[in-house]
Amino acid sequence: MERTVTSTATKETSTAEFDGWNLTFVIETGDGKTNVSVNGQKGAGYVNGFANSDSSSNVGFSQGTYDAALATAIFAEMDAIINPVA
Amino acid sequence: MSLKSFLLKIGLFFTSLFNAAARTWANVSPEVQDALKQGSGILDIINKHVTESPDIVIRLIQHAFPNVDRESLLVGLRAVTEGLNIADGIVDNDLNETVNRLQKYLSGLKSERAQFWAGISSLAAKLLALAFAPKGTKWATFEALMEFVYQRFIKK
Repeated sequence: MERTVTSTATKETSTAEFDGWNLTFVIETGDGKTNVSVNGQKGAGYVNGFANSDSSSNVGFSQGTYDAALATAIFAEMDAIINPVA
Repeated sequence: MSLKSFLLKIGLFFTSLFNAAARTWANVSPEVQDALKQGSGILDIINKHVTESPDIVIRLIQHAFPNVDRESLLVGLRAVTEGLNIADGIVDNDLNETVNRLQKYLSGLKSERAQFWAGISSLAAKLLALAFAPKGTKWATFEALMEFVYQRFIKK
């Protein structure tokens, strides 16, 4: 997955496209911790996800659709954001 | 708002969510209920026995879910490894290798990427439940009920 950063302030917002899904990532960093939230849409389907450095993560779908490849890709991308390779 | 009333509101919110899930649970078919319990329960067994041999894990699963035969288990777990994109190199129809791949993947997540372990385990349980559920069962059913099933029937 390749993300395009569209704005950077206290939060970083970026977008990506994955198999027709249009995704928006919001990354907040502070006190050595990182929070990531993701929202996306493809047709009538919606996906949202979150992850943070020290607790939990989830990826969920609504409007009756799901895409396992997308869910796995979002988990991998959030992992790459929170645990970047040095 | 005081801390006490804030915590009370959070408690009421989660109670309300749990009650809503319980009502949804009562309205799904026994076949879908079974699929949800199997998905959650089997992933729980794998997660709790990541260092055991796959043979032992398969025996534990069949003891807990006697109506899930090896063939069904292979079909379901293969759907999970393919969904999680970790199926590369697994020889077709090798249940032991499929279980082993999941054990390694989940134990690696838990030790190195703990914040992703629960979320990906939940996704895996949903994929397995989907494989066991009657065709046409909506994904939203698994999204709505998997956490409820884990908390009510599986978590010990």
